Amino acid sequence: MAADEEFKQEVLRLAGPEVLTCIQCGTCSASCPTAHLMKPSIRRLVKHCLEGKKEEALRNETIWLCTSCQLCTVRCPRGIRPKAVVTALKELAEREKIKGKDQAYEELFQRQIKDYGRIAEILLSGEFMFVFPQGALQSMELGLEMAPKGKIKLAVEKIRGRDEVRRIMEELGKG
Amino acid sequence: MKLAYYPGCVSRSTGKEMDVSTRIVCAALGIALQELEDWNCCGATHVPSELVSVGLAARNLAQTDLPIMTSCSICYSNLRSAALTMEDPQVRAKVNAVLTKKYSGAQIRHALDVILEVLEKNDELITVPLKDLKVAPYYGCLLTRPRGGIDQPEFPTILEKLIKTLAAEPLDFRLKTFCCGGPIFMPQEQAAEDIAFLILKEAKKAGAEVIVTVCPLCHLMLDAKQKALEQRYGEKIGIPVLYVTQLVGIALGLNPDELGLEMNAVSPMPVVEKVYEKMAEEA
Amino acid sequence: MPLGVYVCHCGLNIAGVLNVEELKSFALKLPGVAVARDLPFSCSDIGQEQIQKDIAEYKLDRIVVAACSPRLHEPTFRRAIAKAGLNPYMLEMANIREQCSWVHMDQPAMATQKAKDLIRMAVAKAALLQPLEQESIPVSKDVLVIGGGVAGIAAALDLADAGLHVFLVERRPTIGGHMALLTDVFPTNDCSICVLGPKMSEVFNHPDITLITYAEILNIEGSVGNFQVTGHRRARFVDEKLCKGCINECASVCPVEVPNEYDFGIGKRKAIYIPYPQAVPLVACVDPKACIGCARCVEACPAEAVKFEQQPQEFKLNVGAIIVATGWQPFDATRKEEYGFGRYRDVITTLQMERMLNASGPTKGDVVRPSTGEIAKSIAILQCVGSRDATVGNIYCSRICCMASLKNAQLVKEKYPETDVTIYYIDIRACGEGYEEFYVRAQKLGINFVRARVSRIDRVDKDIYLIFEDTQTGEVKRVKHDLAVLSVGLEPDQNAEVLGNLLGLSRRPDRFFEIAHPKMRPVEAHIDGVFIAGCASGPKEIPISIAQGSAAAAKAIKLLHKGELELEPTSAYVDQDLCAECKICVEVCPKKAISVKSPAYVDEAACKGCGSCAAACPKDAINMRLFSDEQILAQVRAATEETSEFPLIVAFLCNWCSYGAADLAGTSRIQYPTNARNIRVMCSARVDPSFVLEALRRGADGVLIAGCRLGECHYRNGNYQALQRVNVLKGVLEKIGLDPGRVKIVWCAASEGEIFARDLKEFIAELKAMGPIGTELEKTKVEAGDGKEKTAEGAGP
Repeated sequence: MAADEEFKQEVLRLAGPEVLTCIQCGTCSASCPTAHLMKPSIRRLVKHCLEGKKEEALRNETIWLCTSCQLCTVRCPRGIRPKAVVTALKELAEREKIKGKDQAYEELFQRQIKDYGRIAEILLSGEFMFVFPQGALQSMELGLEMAPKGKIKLAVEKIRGRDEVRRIMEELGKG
Repeated sequence: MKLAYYPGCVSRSTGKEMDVSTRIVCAALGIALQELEDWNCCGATHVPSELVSVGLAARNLAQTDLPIMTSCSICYSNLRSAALTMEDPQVRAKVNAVLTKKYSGAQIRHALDVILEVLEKNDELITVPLKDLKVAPYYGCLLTRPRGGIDQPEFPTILEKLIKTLAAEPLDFRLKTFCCGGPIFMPQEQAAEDIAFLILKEAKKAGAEVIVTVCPLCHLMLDAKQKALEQRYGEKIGIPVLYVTQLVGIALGLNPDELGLEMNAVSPMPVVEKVYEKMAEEA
Repeated sequence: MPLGVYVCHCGLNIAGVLNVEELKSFALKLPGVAVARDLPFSCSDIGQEQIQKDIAEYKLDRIVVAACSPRLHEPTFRRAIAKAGLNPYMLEMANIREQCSWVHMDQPAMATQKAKDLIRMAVAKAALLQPLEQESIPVSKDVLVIGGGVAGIAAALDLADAGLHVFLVERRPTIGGHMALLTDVFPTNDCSICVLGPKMSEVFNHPDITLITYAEILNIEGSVGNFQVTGHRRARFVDEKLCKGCINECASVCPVEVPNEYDFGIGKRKAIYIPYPQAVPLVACVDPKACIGCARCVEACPAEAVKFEQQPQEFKLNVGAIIVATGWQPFDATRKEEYGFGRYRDVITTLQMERMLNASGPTKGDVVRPSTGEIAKSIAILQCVGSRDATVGNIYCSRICCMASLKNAQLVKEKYPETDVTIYYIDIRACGEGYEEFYVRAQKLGINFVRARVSRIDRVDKDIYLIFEDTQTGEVKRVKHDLAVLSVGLEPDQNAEVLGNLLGLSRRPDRFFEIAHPKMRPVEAHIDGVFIAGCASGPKEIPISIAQGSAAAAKAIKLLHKGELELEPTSAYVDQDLCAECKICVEVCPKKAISVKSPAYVDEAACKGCGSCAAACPKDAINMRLFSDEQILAQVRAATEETSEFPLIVAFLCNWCSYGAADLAGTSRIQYPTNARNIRVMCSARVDPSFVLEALRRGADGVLIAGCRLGECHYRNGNYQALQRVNVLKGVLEKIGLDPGRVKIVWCAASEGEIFARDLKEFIAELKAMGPIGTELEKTKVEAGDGKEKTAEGAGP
């Protein structure tokens, strides 16, 4: 497939022009706690972006395996933020309306912030269960663990500045 | 000392004991906390637009002139990142354009270093020294990232310093800055559990009697999920996991109820008993 | 003040486009012109003779030649008029070939008009020329070499062999630098100290070298030819003349052991010590930090050389030149926390490896695991530790580490064929004679190469593991090794920082000393009479450090061998009555030639005549002997006397690059419109904002300033200064209601004639869009509408 220059430029805009200076040394991949599950590796992912391979860069499990631990970003010898590349790709995947359980989770998360200003984890896992029933088991396990400890509260706190929060998400979300 | 306090969303649910113990320990140390007015979620790790993430954090930072303290590493990292990004005048202008109260700079602190600072000057407050208690210092990832926060990103030692101040023994914990997998435990269960269990196994191997954490998500992965992980991987761990504030609280002689110890999944009560026994022995 | 003007035909080069006859008659009418002629070839013998004849006949005292570029024939005509008895500086050239006839070939009428303006400008400037004398000053023929590593040694020996006296000052107790500590050296694997040792002795024994070790430079004053240097020798508590260098007697009784810095911490030494057996001078030294004062050594020394009462000694030198050869220091590997250096004993640095491999080193040549003392069976070598790494602020490649590691790997493999040696690298850089062959040799020896940058070293129980992605297979791996060697990069010696400040040397972003030109002047500093050799200006291998030492010596010899220095009369000078001692000139001077000793004083030996101080002085108290304020203003006025076309541009071109670019546009016959009237200045920083305002006030539609490309200024940073002034000036223009776009600053290299022409065309188009000067003031008036006169006329330029 032909290189998608527009896609490449958009990644560079979101993640920073330093991405161009990547020397493919693999420090990022070898720093990643979930590297063993990633395909492509984070190093290859950066390469895909630079080659304008949009499909490869957006449709993969790798970007959803990022735990945001930032170790790659702390170590990159070129001052690139591989984590920011992943974040950019998630944003672009959202724009492209690429659907999946990971996107569903992120969407729920953001909708809660938009609606309430805060996150109620338990409600979040409940909703996630509803959207994605395969995840039900672990949430139930955890719920069983936590319910007697008084940690489960189904009422969500709503902050007063919800309008402002919504404005932040909508206005700044335009980039 | 007077600080603005940012509890973070987790304090309202799965990380209640973190919030409870932070408040009581700070009170005992003479640190006046003023909860941040109408705070909102910091964006955590699930907002795939850097600018939105900065905006969400910045709204919180703009609510006060006091230094802002939080006991959650994710919140701490996010608020710091936002403050760093907002040094770029272009970003600041963009964000301020949508904020009601405008951001003009902020100082962000983690409960860990606030508490250590006070304790170092007032070690007489430690009434129950945690003698001989083998503690695995577990930093997780975000406390020291991005660079330039309370300690070095690769090999921090501040937690060991605190543990020593409490008279306990910090273990040489190999995976102390390894990510717990927490941020992806919902959508990517297997990946997250693999690494969380690796950390628990390593703590057991190091001979830990207790693991101390500075982040509610780490705590959730290592404590709340410990039983399930044991079942899944067929290996018993049985190590209590304390928030740093809970560990400090025990050493300050605070009541287990006040520290929310009963909310922990793996009961830390045997550890508390051991500490008190030791004290009685020595007296 | 009779003046002669000569309009050159240059065959048809000029006369084929311009009407030289008309130019001649035009010149004759200009004030002060006694004679004007057109000559077929003014530079020919006939042409020169004609000028000389006229000087005698008409008693001419200044000459204008309208011909080619002064960069070509100014020296020719200066010589010619000097022969006729005139001062050589009483010449001005109008460049009507490269910057007129050759670039306006299809518009002869406009070109002739432009040439008239250029001649009028040259005559106006010539009227203000002053005779200048080349002065010469006596200089010291002694040279100070700072740093006794291999570069400093090479410099000192060449200078001394050429008959100049050298003071070689070394901070440590011995000369030899890092090279003396290495084992075999690439690409021939010959023994380092075996080739360096004899050179060190030669320095010690040379009658024309005064060796001052264990010493520091405290102060440096003066300038090229006459630097006054103060320093002190630290007390070594051992009399250099009495000590026989036997070391056994004193060191064997010393009860104190400390890590040996000459073994990079893996070996030990006593509080009284000689750095290594081949040290020069071979004299013991007491480490005052380690010594407990038991005085057993005092008693043990058969020569009674140990003197606890010894004091530091001050020395003063007067030298004509200084060679800075302060070398490098290894990157501090503890800064890469993820590699565990300092925490894991089996993680060592290249330099520790060098000492281990050294037969006279702490392990007698055995390569062992420090944690067990056993021979290492599996060795990892990690490249780029502290180099090519933005996280530690070192973006540069340290250049020698690949080769050093290939060498160490070979030495290990030759000694222990069974040992597994793996080099983890990003790129192998083997650029040099015989270097790639050396790499091939390493591959054939069975050394493993993995293309990976190791992300972390982990220790589990007693073993170390490397974690990396093998980028050729894409696998993330975790591999156990007995020993990990960190190939640490080179950083500038931090002790040299003070010295750099004393000399006023500038540093590159990589913190190494900056040389005067990144290609053309590799061993010269920005400060005259100061040279830089070896790793002080960046990482280098041994042969290049030696070459630079010798090159710096040759430069110093060239400078000083006559015993006197001829000064170009181009310098700045201060009107002492006007100077307010604000020190702005001191800050802007790129050559550190100005000091304020109430009032400011210009060291004419150091000044190179860029003129930035003259442009910056708020009191106009500094002026230039060549390119004076008055001369340039006269050119500006002459250029705008007749606004013969629209837009009319006054252009200031720096001598080195942009004037060269304009000339090149001519020799390349690049055609562009005739609108610009060029004024040559030494540097774009010479352009005083008052020149620009004068040009606009007198009706120029725009002013162009052209300098060398940013970062390539021939005086270091003049173009940045010019840029800063232009930005301020734009603000002023805006305030008084003029379009700030009427001043434009551009950059071009001397090779960029095309770019000069393009920039000028762009500017012409922009000015056309703006309309003639003052259009915007009219507009403001109209817009103000209600009769309120917004264009305060008093504020007009």
